[in-house]
Amino acid sequence: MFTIFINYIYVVMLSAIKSYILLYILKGVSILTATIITFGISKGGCSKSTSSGITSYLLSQEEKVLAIDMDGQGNLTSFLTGEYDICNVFEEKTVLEAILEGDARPYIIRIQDNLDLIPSNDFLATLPRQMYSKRLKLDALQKALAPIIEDYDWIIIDTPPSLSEQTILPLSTYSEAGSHVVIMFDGSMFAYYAIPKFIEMVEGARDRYNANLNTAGILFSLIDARAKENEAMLESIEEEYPHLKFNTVIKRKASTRRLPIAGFNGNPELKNALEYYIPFVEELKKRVQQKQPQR
Amino acid sequence: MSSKNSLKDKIRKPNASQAFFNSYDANDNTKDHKTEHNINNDKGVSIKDNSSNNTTIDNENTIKVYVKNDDVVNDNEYLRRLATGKKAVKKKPKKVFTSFYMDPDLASEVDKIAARGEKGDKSKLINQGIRTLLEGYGVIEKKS
Ligand SMILES: Nc1ncnc2c1ncn2[C@@H]1O[C@H](COP(=O)(O)OP(=O)(O)OP(=O)(O)O)[C@@H](O)[C@H]1O
Ligand SMILES: [Mg+2]
Repeated sequence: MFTIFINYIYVVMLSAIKSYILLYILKGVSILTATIITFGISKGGCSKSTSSGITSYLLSQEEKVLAIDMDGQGNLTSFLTGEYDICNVFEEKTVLEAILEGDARPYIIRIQDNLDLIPSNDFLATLPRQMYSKRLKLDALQKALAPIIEDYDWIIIDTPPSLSEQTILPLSTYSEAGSHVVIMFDGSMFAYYAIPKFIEMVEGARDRYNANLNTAGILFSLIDARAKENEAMLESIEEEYPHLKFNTVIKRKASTRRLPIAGFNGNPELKNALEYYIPFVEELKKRVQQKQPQR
Repeated sequence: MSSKNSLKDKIRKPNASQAFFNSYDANDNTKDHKTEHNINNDKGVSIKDNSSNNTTIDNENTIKVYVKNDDVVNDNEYLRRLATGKKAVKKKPKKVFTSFYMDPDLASEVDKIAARGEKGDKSKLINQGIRTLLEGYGVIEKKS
């Protein structure tokens, strides 16, 4: 009788130790998962693609980054690859196929050390229809990324200026390490009214698919130093969305605008072009509390 | 979670984002929505069929059912008794009237079986056949 009791204690202790070890391992895995940053606003031309491209580049200087182009315009794809004939060059090798097949692995292309890209092209327009016929749900991008999410420190996603699958899929993509949104704002009236609508998308995705989704902040970009309404806009945002505005403001710069022509490598005005983005990325990292480089 | 959300959205007017998410919820529970729609629709015409049960049919011949799923009677036991020549106990379930074309070979087989039974047994057999098929497809829940 006594030995049975001892045995019982032994088994209980052993299973407790086992589950503790398992917990520890799982915690370790969670640290080794990518933090997702989605750039968005349903107003065109607010510098989503430019900002997501530059952010990917800057983060890849120290950590592993996967950039994903969710806009059929393929601006991020062209920006990072220098390729503008995207329909031919990336024919059936895009994020569209990755989502429909539920596996991103065959569609990742290497840009440079530590920087990969899943490209897109105009055929991404067929995504909603094809998702419907394949009965895919809004977690389809998450499923496609599952096999590789632990291979990166950061996943940076560019979205189109619309309420659509292309925008909602990234927002619905869960990561243990956190999933964050940077809302782009160009200081215009149209963009101002697009902000609350984008926040509604974030809330919808958070409620239903992605409890870990968080708004990292509102990034002012393309600010024209001469526009006298800037101050009023900045204050309105500050009052309406306390603490959401990034302290860094991206000012309009010709060298930044030329980046897609000149590229990053061997670009003599690179430092100038990235001037405002370097402090932005530092602030972003702090806001999302990325622990340490993960390799 | 999502059903709570769609309830919330019915209370408040849904914004565009909620409407977008709801459209995906709707895809998930097409069945439920259809049932709800039919129950709420009162444009159907009530008629009486041979077995004196209330049924409704609308203009396009799609079936409107005013009967709760729980009321659908499982005829399995009855048919088994009928087919094996045992005494079959009669039941009076609610039904809807509809019409369709059958393959000749099936029609003659069904007629042969029905001839051994009584009025209504033909319908029971057809219902059981389709029920088994749809249960197999996972479209409807299995009746115990
Ligand atoms: N800081 C900047 N200084 C100067 N020009 C900029 C800056 N940021 C972006 N631009 C230019 O503004 C234009 C719009 O930027 P971008 O394409 O990145 O916006 P977007 O939000 O991605 O647009 P869309 O909504 O169409 O996807 C581009 O021509 C880009 O080169
Ligand atoms: Mg863009």
